[in-house]
Amino acid sequence: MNRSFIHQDQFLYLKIALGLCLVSILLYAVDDPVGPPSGNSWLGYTLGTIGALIIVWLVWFGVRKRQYTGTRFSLTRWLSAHVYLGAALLVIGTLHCGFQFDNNIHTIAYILMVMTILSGMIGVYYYLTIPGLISANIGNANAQQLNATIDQIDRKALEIARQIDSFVHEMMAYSIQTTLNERRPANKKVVMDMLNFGETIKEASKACYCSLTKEEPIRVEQPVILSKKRAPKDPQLVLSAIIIDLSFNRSPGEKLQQLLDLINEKAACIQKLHLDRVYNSRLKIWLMFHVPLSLATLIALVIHIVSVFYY
Amino acid sequence: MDTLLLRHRERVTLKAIAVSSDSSSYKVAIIGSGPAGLSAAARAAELGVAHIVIESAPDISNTVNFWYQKGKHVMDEPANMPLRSSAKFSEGTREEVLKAWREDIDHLKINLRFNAALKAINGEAGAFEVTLANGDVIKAESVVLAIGTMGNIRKLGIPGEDHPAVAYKLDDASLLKGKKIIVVGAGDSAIEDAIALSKHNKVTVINRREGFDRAKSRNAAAILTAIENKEIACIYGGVPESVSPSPGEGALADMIIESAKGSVTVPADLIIIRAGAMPQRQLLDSLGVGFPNEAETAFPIIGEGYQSSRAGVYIVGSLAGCPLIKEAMNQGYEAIEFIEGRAIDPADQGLLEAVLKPLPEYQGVKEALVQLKKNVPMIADVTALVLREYVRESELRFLKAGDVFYKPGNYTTGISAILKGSIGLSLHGDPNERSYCYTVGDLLGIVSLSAGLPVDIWAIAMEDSVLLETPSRASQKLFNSVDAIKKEIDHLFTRRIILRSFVSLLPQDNIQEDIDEMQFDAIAADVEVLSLKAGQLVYKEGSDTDAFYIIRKGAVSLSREFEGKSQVQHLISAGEWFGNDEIFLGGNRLDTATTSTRSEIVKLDASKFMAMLARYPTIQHAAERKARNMLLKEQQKSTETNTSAVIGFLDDTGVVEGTNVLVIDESLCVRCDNCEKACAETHGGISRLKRKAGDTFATIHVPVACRHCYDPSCMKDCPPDAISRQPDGDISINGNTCIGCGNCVANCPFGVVQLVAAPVQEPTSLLSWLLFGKGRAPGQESEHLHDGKASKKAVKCDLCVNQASGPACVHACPTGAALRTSPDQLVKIFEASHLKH
Ligand SMILES: Cc1cc2nc3c(=O)[nH]c(=O)nc-3n(C[C@H](O)[C@H](O)[C@H](O)COP(=O)(O)OP(=O)(O)OC[C@H]3O[C@@H](n4cnc5c(N)ncnc54)[C@H](O)[C@@H]3O)c2cc1C
Ligand code: HEM
Ligand code: SF4
Ligand code: SF4
Repeated sequence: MNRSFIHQDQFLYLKIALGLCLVSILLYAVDDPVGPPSGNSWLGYTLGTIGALIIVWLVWFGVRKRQYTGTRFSLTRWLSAHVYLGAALLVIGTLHCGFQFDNNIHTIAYILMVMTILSGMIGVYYYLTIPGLISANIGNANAQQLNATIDQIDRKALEIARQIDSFVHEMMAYSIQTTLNERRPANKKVVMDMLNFGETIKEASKACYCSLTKEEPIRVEQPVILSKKRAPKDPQLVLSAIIIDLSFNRSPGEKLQQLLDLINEKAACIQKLHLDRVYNSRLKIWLMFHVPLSLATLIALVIHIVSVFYY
Repeated sequence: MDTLLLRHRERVTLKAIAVSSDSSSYKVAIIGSGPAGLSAAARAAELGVAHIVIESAPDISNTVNFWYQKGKHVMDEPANMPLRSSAKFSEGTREEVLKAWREDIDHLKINLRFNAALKAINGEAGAFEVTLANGDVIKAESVVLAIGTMGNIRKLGIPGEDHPAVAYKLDDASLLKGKKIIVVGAGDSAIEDAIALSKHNKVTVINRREGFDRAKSRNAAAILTAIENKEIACIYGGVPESVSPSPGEGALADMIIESAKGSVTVPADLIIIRAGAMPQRQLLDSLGVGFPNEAETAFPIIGEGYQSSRAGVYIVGSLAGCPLIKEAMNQGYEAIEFIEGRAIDPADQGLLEAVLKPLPEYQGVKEALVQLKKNVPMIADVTALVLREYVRESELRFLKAGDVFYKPGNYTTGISAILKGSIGLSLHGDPNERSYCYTVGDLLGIVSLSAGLPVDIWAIAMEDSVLLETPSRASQKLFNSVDAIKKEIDHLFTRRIILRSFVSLLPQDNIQEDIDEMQFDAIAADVEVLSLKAGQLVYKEGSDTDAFYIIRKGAVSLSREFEGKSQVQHLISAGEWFGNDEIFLGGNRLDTATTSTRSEIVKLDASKFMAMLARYPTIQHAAERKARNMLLKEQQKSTETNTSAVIGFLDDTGVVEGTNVLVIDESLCVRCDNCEKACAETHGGISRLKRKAGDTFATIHVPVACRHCYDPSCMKDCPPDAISRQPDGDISINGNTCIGCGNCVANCPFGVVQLVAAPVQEPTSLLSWLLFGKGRAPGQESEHLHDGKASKKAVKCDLCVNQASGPACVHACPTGAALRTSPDQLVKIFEASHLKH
């Protein structure tokens, strides 16, 4: 819809940032300092001051993000300016130090700044690509609805499995439990509520779980994976195991086909849910680098300035 | 469960001061023991008037007793109205209020008879014979009807129905676990109960019919899925025969049900009967009480001293159109005063005085009311009761010559009657512009009120003027109280909306065209008004073109056939017209027009309108040019199927009903929930939007948040009239007057209103949270901390009218994904972004 932080105000902040870079480069080109170019010339001081102010302002974004009242400019504008001015630092900061790198606090500050900027760029890349992927993955549903769909499939599948035979039933019950654990790892209560919808499932899954963790296999025709000493926890694996068992060990029939279809449908849902979680965490994880790096940059910047003036 | 049982027992064992002899005759028979009836009885008892109260329920005051949640905080709105009653009432919990009434009954020795429903009233004033459902006859000189509007709960009338396991409503589904429960009924409330209970209980639904077609489609679909998934059992075509104590250990009662498959016995711990309520209208019609019209929402005609159109029968309380306890009690008291021949000033005298006093030649309330009726001919026929409420709710507005009363884009929030001076209308707010002029007695704001549309014209005082401004519900009530007024208002509305459409054709630079509203009078009198349900056909593609249409309420979609598939081309919302292009250009219908929601559509005869248009050659030209351009543009995009799909989506999900909708572009939304956090932070810790919930089409996501509808359903049934449209167009709930009845929660089709107890807001300190992680994080929802007594209030999006920077959700979105916009604007944005790619 062309109204993102990238386009904000017809790229106003991109223009400002580019202008800033251009002016810095021009000045850098015409400036003829005594000695090699460094932060120690009038241009160095100027660029340094601008850069330091920008960094402080960039860090202030973390505060602004949490001010919900009494602010004048929208957060979209702030982010737009943040992104472009932050990137401009790459030029301003580099020209400020005049390509003088060494084994000291000054260079550490520079490296931290560059890492912050790079992590910010990764963030922008994620912000621009992942939202679309999330929508493409789960379409018009959301995670909650997917969970509800899986609940429904589970109920249907369990009923059909019961009609096939008790072993298939047990396996299905076990699979439900593994998916539950996978789907809502933190929420034990929800799992228990879910199991409560029928005493059968709870009992079956308990029995099944016990038998599966026992040494000796309980059935001769037990499928490869389930006969292992420790039953798999990955729901996809469990589902594949059931599919293998159903496809190879049982005579084909209408019920069996129905169950296989349901399992396939469920596997697809779980795959989506999994991807959804991966995408959503990707949108957050990069910030766990960006924010500490930005704070480290700020601290290094302070040390850098103090040490410059002290010595 | 136990609470349910307890409550039930409490009702059956209540000691009623019942009177069994019926041969005696009374001065007044009071029907209904709600606040209105009780207050009447209290006054009668105090004065020593021979009286009897007849109550169909087994306990007093069925609405408060049965329909309120336990522990509900009962409000005493309107705050500025004094209580005038011999019974006590003040703000407090439901239990406290009922206790006070029970004490009054004991101490005043009110004569009450429970389980006695009114069936018929025979005879004349002075010698009525009141017949009860069980055939008993009571003699009385006057009858006070105080039966409220909630109707009587339908019971099954089967043996054993008084078993303690039988209940007629569900207090709190979450308290019940692992029970066997029968729900009888197939309506919305039965379905909602059954689904809520099925999570933790074994539920069987008894449905007399073969399907759930009486319920809302969303509910019907939900229960069918639940039945298919065996989460709920259902006996179709089932007729309950009897309830008896269960012989076994496993349940409390057995219900025997007859169905096509024979008779089955279903054991249960709880039987919820949800057979609906019997509406009062039928009973009232049979009693000979007159109504102004057939509308379901109409209230009976009530004259001087609360007397109905049937002499000797008085009507008070919510049935008289007064939906609050305090007012109901005042009316009960006053009705007895009138019956006793003691004409008194109604309790609201002071309130009226406060409104009217600033009038230039004020001499007293009575005189002012007479003058008002004379000045505003339209209200000459309304009854005293309605007129008083109308004035009480209103406010005087004084304008100096040249003051702007409203301007394009404003919403008028009710009706304004001109009492003095004149108001000129003009297109551009230009003083030299020739304009139409309204004078004393004219009403302004009708279009905005009836259709939820912003005004499109300037209204400027021509001289010093006085207006009486009335909020929307009080105005609506006034119109509905007299059929002739309603017709007149409808006519006025049609005339103005035609004018409005006509004016929209004017070329932008033309400000000199002289259009007289009265020219539309004949056409407006000659229109047909179609009242259509959602999804009904207005006309078909290719059919003859003989009329065009203006939407008064609702919305219409225009679709066209492409390669055998019908594709939506346009959404037309309230106040707009459609079907006109073909008329200006000639030819058959280009599209099929179908209603998107419940709609009222004005149908105008094409030839008559064209004849009038011919009188304005410039306008006619402009109209034709517009139509031709439109057609050209359409031919270019007719293959653009995306737009059609998005319009279809907006149509299906009811987005078209909104004036201002929160939309999130999912291709930009980074799911940070900063929008929700911002909402919570600016609204006492509770977010009024739910980002994850809602409908999605492609990357357009419409979260659950108020859409500020053209025709807001939430507003329809709010007892204290706490919901109103503000001048900026937002629909807002007044937290001070809201009584927390939950009607708006139930009535909003989009589930955006919540009832919440005012949380104790923990202050946040950004610094201490940032540095030490202490306290509530900014934007985190507050725990709903309150002392249990705090009253619940309805809350929803208020468009952040108090924030200078606009809606906080949009302002706080980092990526620009969130925006608030109107449906047609949304379509344009969507088109623009897709044409570019
Ligand atoms: C959930 C809810 C919350 C509310 N909260 C508040 C609030 O906080 N403050 C407030 O001021 N208002 C509130 N109201 C509105 C208020 O309850 C009503 O305005 C008030 O009860 C009206 O009083 P009434 O006496 O006219 O009618 P009702 O209270 O409805 O009483 C009518 C009585 O007549 C009986 N009856 C009906 N038909 C017959 C018949 N044929 N024969 C014999 N008896 C019959 C009924 O059983 C009932 O007892 C609320 C309403 C609801 C639904
Ligand atoms: C030295 C340079 C930078 C500093 C000090 C800095 C600092 C910050 C801080 C403190 C935040 C707030 C995070 C939070 O509280 O959640 C932030 C967020 C962000 N920054 Fe930077 N940043 C810098 C450069 C950049 C650059 C160059 C880009 C992109 C090109 C960028 C992109 C972002 C983005 C996308 C966010 C997340 C916005 C949000 O989700 O609310 N940053 N940055
Ligand atoms: S604030 Fe914007 S990006 Fe964040 S969740 Fe809301 S709409 Fe999405
Ligand atoms: S609360 Fe519901 S009905 Fe009322 S304006 Fe908002 S969306 Fe419409």
